[in-house]
Amino acid sequence: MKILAVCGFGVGSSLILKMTIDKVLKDIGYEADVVNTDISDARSYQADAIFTSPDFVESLQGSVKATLYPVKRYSDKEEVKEQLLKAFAANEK
Amino acid sequence: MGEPIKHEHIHIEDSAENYEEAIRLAAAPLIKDGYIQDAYIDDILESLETNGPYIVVADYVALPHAQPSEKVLKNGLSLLLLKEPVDLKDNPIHVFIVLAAKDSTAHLSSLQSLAIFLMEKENIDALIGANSVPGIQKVLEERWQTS
Repeated sequence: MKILAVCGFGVGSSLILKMTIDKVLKDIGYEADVVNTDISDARSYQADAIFTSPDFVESLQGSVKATLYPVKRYSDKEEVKEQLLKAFAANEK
Repeated sequence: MGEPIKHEHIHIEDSAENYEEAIRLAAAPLIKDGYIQDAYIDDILESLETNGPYIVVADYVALPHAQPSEKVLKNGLSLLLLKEPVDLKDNPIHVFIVLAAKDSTAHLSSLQSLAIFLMEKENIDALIGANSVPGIQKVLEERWQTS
């Protein structure tokens, strides 16, 4: 599975989110490709899942094929884990 | 390794009027030492309006930053601890960590360390519980892992 971690500029926050996703993946023993990028590049990327803030989920809705998973706190492992489990469940179907 | 965040870039205040004042206070050392131009702060504030409060990366912690531009002269971090939290679009914030990055790959290793630090809630609690700049430095030095 390919996951995009998205923020406004692809500089700070999306890297924090990518690191949290990578850490949780390691903890739960799942594997995925995680790439961080900014909101404008997110539209042209091929991915299975996009993790980003609720505000960006709203602005990306309808313009991307990937399923969108909102994360409010980019360094919250619990919140990220919840969304990752949903993403893996959806990806298996 | 050096200090996670330079001690002259860390300060502590009882409170701030609002998040704008807090971000300006937090960024002041970076302006003073020539890391960023004043206009970088305007970019941060503008981004908050257009992009929403996703810079609140953990409970009580905000990571104000804007897109890399010529307004950033040097890569760096600064930190402000507010003993009394200030509201940032419905999020109470104690800690503001301003990120100045000249380009998207700059500063990767200290950001990675910061990410690892912020993932543990007890690290944030320890930071908020600090009462002095040396106290904040101690928390950072003890808990900051370099990759």
